[in-house]
Amino acid sequence: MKPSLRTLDPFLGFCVLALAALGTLTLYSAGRGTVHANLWIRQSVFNLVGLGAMVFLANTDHRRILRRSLPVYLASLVVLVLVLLLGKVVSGSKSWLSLGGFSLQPSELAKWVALLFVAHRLGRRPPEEVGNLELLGAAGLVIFPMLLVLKQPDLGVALTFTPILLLLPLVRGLKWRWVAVGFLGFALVGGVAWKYRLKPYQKERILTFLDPARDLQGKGYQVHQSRIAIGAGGLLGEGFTSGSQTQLNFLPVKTTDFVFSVWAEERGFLGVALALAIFGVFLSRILSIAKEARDASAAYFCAGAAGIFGLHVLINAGMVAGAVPTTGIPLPFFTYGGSSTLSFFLALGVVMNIHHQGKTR
Amino acid sequence: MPWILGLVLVWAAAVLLRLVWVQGVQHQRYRLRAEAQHQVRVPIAPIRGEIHDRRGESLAISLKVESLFCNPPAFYPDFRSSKGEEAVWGNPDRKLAAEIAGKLAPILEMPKATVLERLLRKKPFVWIDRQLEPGKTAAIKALEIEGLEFLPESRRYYPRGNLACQILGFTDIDGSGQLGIERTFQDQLAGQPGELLAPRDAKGRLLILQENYAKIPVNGASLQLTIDGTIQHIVEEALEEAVKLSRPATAYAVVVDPNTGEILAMGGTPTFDPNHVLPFKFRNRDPKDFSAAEKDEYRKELERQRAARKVHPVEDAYEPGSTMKIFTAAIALEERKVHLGEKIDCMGGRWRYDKSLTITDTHSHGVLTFEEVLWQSSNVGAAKIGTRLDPAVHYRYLRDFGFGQQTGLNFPGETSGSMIAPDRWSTPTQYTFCYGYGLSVSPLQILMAGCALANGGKLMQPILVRRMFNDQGALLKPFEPVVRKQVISEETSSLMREALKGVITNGTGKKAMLEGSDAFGKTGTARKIINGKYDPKRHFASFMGFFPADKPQFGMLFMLDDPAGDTTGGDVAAPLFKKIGDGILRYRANATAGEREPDLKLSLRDWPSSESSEAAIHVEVGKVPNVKDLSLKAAIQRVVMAGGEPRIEGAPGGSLAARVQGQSPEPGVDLKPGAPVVLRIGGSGP
Repeated sequence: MKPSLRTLDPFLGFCVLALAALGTLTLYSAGRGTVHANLWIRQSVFNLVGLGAMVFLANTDHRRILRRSLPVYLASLVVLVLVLLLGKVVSGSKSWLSLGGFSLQPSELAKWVALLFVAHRLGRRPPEEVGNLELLGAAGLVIFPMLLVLKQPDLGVALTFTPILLLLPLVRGLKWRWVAVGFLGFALVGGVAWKYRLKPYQKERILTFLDPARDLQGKGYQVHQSRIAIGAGGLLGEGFTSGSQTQLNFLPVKTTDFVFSVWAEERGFLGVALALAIFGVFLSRILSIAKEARDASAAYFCAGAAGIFGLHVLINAGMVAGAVPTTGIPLPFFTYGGSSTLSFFLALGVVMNIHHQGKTR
Repeated sequence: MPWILGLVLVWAAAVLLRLVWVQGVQHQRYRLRAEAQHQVRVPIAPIRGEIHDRRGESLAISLKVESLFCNPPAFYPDFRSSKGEEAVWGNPDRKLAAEIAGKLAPILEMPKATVLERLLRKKPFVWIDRQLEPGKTAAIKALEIEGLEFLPESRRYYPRGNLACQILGFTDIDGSGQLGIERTFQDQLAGQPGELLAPRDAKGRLLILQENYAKIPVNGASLQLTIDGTIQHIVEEALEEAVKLSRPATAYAVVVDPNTGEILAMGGTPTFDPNHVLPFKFRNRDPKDFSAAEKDEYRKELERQRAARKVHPVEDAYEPGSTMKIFTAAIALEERKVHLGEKIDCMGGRWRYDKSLTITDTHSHGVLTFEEVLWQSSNVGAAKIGTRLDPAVHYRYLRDFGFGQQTGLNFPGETSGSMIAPDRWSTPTQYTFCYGYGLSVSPLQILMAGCALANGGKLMQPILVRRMFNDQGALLKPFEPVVRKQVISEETSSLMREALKGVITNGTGKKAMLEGSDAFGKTGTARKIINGKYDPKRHFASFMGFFPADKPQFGMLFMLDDPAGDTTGGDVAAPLFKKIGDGILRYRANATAGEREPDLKLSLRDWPSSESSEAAIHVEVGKVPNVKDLSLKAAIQRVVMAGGEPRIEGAPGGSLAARVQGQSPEPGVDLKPGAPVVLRIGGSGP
């Protein structure tokens, strides 16, 4: 099949271009007058490379990819182990691999690979024939790389694996017991984790979320300044490149975790609503592609993709608004970063191919 | 599936609601918080009002200078500003601050420890040094240090140097008036300081934008004095010469317009330069560091300063001596106790009234007419005339002439003199009052009383300020002449004018004879009290006179405290009257009529340095700048910036709007700090 733009879904394509454009503009404003002044140019390059990769995957039959997901999955596990052994430590987490001048964050891609492989395994047989053991095994396939990422430790990225787990009830329908067991399990795991597993900084983040004033120096300072920024933005915002919190550098990590605060300060609530509306269209489109998918694996992949994208958006926007504890989860197409941006585009490429195949059924 | 979607939607709704809450409902609160942490209030000094003479010539102007302040958060790497006091400072970067202090200290000529302390003071805004010399400013700007900024302030400059220094006074570094008009009108001249809102980034660095005022500074009001700079100059020159000639402890003079009470000139020796209250070598140094010789010199200098700052005509009280006789005569005439031409027996110059009182004259006189008593200044004659008056009446008239009371000038340190009331008089009191002993007066007081004789009997309140303008040149307040009292009749006044002409033509004041005008006046030679006794050899020598005789426009009083050699008023003070009176007459003959309206507008934009843009000026420190064709004000600014000392030459009374026609030395020549640069201004002024 010759690569063609006709394989692209215009809805998704429009949403992605719009989001990437808004994101790059925001990065330009956030980086002005700082050492990050050129980030928006680099991000544009990532976007272009990502768009190319997306077009390429949209023209690649997703069934071929799904069939080869086992070696890819195994490779991703090897790389995650390698990261733990050889990785570069950036702000407390060993999540980066240096490859001849480039820095890669393999965990960003690993969750998509895990989704691919799990979707492939669950979709091989009709849902009625999938046994409990197989479901548990699928859960293990997700949880193993997730634990490797937690080990780095990178709670944020590890969290983004969880939507894949939601596929499991999807296969056989959700029952009351499952929900009850899920909640109980979550509470139990959460309690144990709090007591024994969570790092002090992670506990601190959660406590800080509950009371930002308790730590005005560290994370609390970021949350505090972010809240001031979006609050000061008000309904209409302070104007492009005119946000005082942003331009006077009061807003911390404004090119990554808190980039959405820049948008919120300079474009106000209307800008935020616009961006979230585009994300909403984007997500519902992915879900409707899932419904029309020709095979179960494809549907599972789309549903999982919608879950992962949705989690990114809701956690990041929630964090910026102060509705969710601070976690280093990027906002797709806004947060600066090559690995994450590229993996978002790759996943979209697969989704677009699924859509194309569904149409041509 | 619906479960999951439902949960997601609830979550999305929660985030959205949260955004509505923060961005909508609480927007104002967060906006104020953002402002509180982004903005620093920086004080902006107003421009101090200028002082002009009666013809618009500038006597005190304000130049734009720069003051250095620092922004201590720049030296605290962990500084986090939140609202107000909650700012967290953390540990300073001592190494960086010490390095910068090490660079600044030699330029500012300040101890390094002081600079360091200011750099690290835990405040958002700290002055390091005020009103820097331009050389220092340039040197510091060249260092390009982050965290150091400059703000303009106004610095006082007195273009005429010593001229009228005791009237004008001077200001300290904070722009607070310390003497004279600068002190009396401090509130009006100073204006109201403003505040600038400067954005501050998270590191605490300030970004100064000139426009963003929280409170616009109100510039000070400008004053137009009654002083005439040219007359003042004539007076000061003559006084200096007189001091050289007869070496008195001090010599001083007042010139007034008898009809309005306006003081046209007032001064005394020694004088000081209000631009440099301390000589160059003592400036910016700790007295502790002086060598023994320097310490001695410094002490003498301070003593001299103290003497120079004394405004003798209003602060001194002295026994007036013979000058007082004209009031004795005028009161007796007014009360019709004596008439012109009346013969009075002066007892050969010695009148033994009783055991306790013998009155003597310096020359023996027989029988003199009323006028001759004044001409020859006979104590006996004056006492005989005066004691015809009822003591209460005599005293009431003296009070009406203003003796024993302040003149109403409202000048710091003014004395009211002293004169006891009749219920405390002893036998000799009224006699000695008649010829000017036993009571003390201030020179200004007796001159104003003399003016009442000259102007038809009205006691005027002396005034120094004619009008007050705001910084846009609009008139705020005129100061009209004030008649305090009609003391004697028009007729008596005119009789006295006639009688006193003879003092100059026939009597003790012959040396006061003017070339171009009739005049009248009275000499005074009062014995000084030395160690509790009148010393016959040491005097206050004075002369008070008025001209033209028929309708006096100038009233003048000269006083020499303890002159050497010839010591009588007629010998040493009367020549001053002639010299200055002739000078004034010549000046008035040459002066074109009319008084120009002074150029009074003051605003940041009109500061002299903005004549062309700041960058275009580019004054090189240590080189004579090119100032030809500039306004005088701009030229002064540039010479001061280059480190020189402007000297203005040319048509007296030229206002600061006049253009500089020539300069010396020529532009580009090396200029030592404090070296004079002569600015010649053209004939646009009279």
